[in-house]
Amino acid sequence: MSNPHQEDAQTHGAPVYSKDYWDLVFEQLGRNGLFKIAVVILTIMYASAIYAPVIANDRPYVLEAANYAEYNKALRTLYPATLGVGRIAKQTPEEYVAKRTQGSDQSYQDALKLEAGAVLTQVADMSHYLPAVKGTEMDAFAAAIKDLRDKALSLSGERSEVDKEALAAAASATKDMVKAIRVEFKPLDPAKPEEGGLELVGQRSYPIVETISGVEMFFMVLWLFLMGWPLWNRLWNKLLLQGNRTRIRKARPRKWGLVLGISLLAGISWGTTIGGSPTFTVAGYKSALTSGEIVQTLAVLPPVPYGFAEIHGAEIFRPPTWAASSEISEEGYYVRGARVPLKDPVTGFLPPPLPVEVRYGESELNASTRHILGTDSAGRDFLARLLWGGRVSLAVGLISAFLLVVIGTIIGSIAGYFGGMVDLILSRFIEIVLCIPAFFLILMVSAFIDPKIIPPIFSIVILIALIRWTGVARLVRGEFLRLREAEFALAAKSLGFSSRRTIFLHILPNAMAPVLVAGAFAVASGILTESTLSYLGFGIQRPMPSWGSLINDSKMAENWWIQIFPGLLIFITITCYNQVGDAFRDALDPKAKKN
Amino acid sequence: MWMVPTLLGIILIILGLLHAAPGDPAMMMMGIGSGGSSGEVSQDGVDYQARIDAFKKENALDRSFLVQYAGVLGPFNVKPDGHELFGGDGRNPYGGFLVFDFGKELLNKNKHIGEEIKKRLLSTTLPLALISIMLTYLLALPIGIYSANRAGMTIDKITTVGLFIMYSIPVFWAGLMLKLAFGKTGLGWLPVIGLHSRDAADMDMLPYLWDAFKHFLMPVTVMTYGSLAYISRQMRTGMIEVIHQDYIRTARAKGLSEKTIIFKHALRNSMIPVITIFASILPILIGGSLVIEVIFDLPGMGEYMFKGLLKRDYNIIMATMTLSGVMTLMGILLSDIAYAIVDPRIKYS
Repeated sequence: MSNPHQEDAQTHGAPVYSKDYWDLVFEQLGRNGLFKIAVVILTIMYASAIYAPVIANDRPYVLEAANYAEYNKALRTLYPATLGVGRIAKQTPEEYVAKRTQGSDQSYQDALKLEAGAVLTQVADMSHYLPAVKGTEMDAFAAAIKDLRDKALSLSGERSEVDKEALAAAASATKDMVKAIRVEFKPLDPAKPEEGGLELVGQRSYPIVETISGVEMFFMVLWLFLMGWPLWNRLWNKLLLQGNRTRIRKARPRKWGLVLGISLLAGISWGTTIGGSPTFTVAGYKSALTSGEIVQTLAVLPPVPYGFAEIHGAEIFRPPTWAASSEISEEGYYVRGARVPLKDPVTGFLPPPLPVEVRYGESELNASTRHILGTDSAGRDFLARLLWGGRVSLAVGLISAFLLVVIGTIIGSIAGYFGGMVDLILSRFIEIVLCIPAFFLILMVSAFIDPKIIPPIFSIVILIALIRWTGVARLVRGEFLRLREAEFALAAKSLGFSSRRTIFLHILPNAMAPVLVAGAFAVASGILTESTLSYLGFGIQRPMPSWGSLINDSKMAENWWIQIFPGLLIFITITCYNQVGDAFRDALDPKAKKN
Repeated sequence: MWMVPTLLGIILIILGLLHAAPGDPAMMMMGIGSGGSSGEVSQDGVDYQARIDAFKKENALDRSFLVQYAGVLGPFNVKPDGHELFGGDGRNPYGGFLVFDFGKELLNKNKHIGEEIKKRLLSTTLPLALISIMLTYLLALPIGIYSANRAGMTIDKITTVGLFIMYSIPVFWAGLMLKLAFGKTGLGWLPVIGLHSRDAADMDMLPYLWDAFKHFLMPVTVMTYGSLAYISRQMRTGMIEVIHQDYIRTARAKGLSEKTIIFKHALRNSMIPVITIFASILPILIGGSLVIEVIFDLPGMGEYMFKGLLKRDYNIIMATMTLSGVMTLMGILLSDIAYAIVDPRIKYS
């Protein structure tokens, strides 16, 4: 048989390669405009979920600040702690044991070490923020304390009068030093700088970066790779592989391995070095910055400067701030609409006002950008919660779809490959499960799962996978029944390959096309199931946000933004996934007629 | 006959899943939750373990799985007051689904679950489902046929995308949005909760019907749009497939009018896939009815199940879950019969 293409190639010199199945699939997908739009929207959705900590957070990206509150606390405790060290050092161990608090069995050495350790911690806390000159004084003090401690520890046995005197002298010397420090090292009050005092040196830290965990880093890198796929894939194919289709085909698994490998490596190395261990901690960065507890020389907050659990007690259910009804006066009363406070008909008093605290980095009280999507039942910014909630919803959809495809594929291939009794039992079982509304089953079981034993986010994923695998199993079974008698499967069998090898290496790859389609639809239905469950109150529980549980926050029609925005996001995501599934189906099925 | 083992299997799966769920059902039902006070007398002097044991004994939850399964099925009651065969004292020997005894609510011993479900099914869930299914098919078939006859034209493309988007709207969100738009806070045209106004009992015939219509409008819309979109798409696909068949080409060649071709030659054959789908959308429809009844506060079976779930009431849940399975089975049976009518080649033995 002579192939016209090959002859063509030989005569013209340029190689022409036939397109394989996946080439055709990608070509088909590339021609589908709606598919491309859906993929772009989904990419953005996943970006906002993966990068939520960087987009919406109440921590600054970078902070160069002096923690006056911490410094003051250290300074206050320094004096009594130093006196404590001196007092213990002057005593002999026997005296200490005789005098120590009743019930305490702390040894002399332990007590001394503990007390001296406390002083050194305070010194270290203060030294963070001290100018270099003052730092040396502090070092001298620390050295004196260490000296005193070591001297007292070395003389734990009998003490001569000379030793006692030396110890007493050293103790009084540290006392004098700490007295001087108490005066000289007094910081200036940031609220009243004219009173004078020591100006502290800011320390630089990266609060958001430090809280990102290894897993988060893995997904961040992975997303970047997938996002740039069209670009670097084309470059790689053109430059490295010279557009040779055979080589491109062979490089496919290598590319995937590289993408996953690099992301995994980034995640692991991040998790073991920087991830999840903040060096500079404050309970609430923004309130500390606002109240002047910490004074910054540099603080850059994310574009949405709210945390997903950051509470604004005075702004409960505040409408989106671009809406007229959201205006609040300086005292803290609503100015327009149904929430304007009314005078009590009997006493004539207005209800007590709730002044809004505008924290550092936030927009002005009535700026339209303050809470673009309003706030929820605890005054948490709704946009921040939506961004963080996307993480849960999208993850539940993806993981549950993956799990159910795996379960369904395994059971379906067993049923289809072996046939006979196995197939009969499994098929009957599948038919029975399909008779019960899957949503009811999931709802029923999730109502009886104790959230303390399995967190809802896991139980939802597992439940969806355990109950919804039947559809995929049916598909795979059908494909296997069809492919079981195909030549290549018979060849594999007659070569004496094991059943496992025949199933997984020979038949399954050819049966995966409909599974891929079902998988895309399964993601959509997973997201829908999770959100419906959470809306009914049986899914994700507060304070963890998910799109469904956010809608559950208020059933009142006045709080329209609570009901509109999360639902809109769910709707868009589901539409996109359905579109992707549809496009896959059209592209994967060569028999499908274009009409 | 296949329905009997299927039904047995359905009940087995429901009961099995309830048992497999981590967390003690007795404790969940009593609202205690795991950990803490169980196993000992708690600080407030209540012996929770003794209470739990008594509760389990009373509801036969301490029996083996098989005995519980037998108890749910019937005809023997396996509870302490049940048949002697199962160690009861014989006061109340028979019970279970076989004798149509669905038990009583756990928190309200005077309320028979069977009667409550019957009332709710007849007043709300069945009318809602029937109207919705009829509307679906009445609208979906013409839309599908219309779209298929104009395949590739702009109007077809718009319809296809529109139906596609409609299909993706989450049911509960659609309900909420309709309530926002047409309820008091929006246009104020329609009532948002219940089946009737409070004074419906005193109304004349016509105002009463108008009132019921207004109350049904939104729930029915929400219940219909999803399956409507789905079935229209299937109808369109089926119709297009049929139109490309040889016998349609023959009919065209004979010079028959387009009307005759579509309605006499193509319609019945293109309806086969749409009718088989009926069985598979039914579970989704029943599942969706729970959400719709909860949102619009309709006293239907789904809402009853939801209440049962909130109260962790074993009996209500078993009864409503099984019934939803039965309803699905009925749907499958119906679609099989319809299939035989549309396609005379299929004969049932």
